[in-house]
Amino acid sequence: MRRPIPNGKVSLRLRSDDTPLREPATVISLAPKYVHDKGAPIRLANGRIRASKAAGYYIAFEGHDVNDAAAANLRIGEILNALRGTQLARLIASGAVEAEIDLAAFRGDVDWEAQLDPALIKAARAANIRIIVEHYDKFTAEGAPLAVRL
Amino acid sequence: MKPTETAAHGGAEQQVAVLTNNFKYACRALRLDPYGASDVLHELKEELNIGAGEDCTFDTETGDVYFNGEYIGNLKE
Repeated sequence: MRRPIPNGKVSLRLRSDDTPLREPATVISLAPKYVHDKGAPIRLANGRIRASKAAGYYIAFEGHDVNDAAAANLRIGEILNALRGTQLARLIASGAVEAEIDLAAFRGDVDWEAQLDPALIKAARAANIRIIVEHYDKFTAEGAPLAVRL
Repeated sequence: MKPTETAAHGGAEQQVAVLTNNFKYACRALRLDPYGASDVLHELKEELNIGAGEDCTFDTETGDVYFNGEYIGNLKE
């Protein structure tokens, strides 16, 4: 049975063309969910191997369901705190690793962009971390989910 | 936006798959709960390192999802 769909979900994603991410990710207090090593095969959820191999290094950490902006702010703060002072934070600041906090908005009940804490957005920018609201409740003219970068 | 129609010929039978980049349209055509389908699509993108602004393609008859022409999953799973 499918889980109840929350209003939103917050997760951290890291990407790099050249920097392996497994090792530096072990020292932060976030749990990796999906890990790709450059050039390695990728297994799909149904067990099949994806035709193309991983183009780069990638980690998506376990996300957290959020039903309002207060919960999203809490999770974003936790992610920023988990990274602060770590080797990963230095790699992100230098641009060697690209970091993105993804807020998937599944329902239109919350005005996420208006209610996310500006101090958190500012702190994320200062750390070279993007925050993206990916709207599955608002669409582009082509009908694709609308992505808004904060 | 009108979906793209692609005809694939196999043997004596003709198979026609209807592909679209329009997620909203695909959910309607497949009669899927849009919230559940959104959750599935988001999970696929998260799992396979597909960026928030990158578009997938949907088969409106089977629910199969493609990225850069490659099968990556199904909206009904």
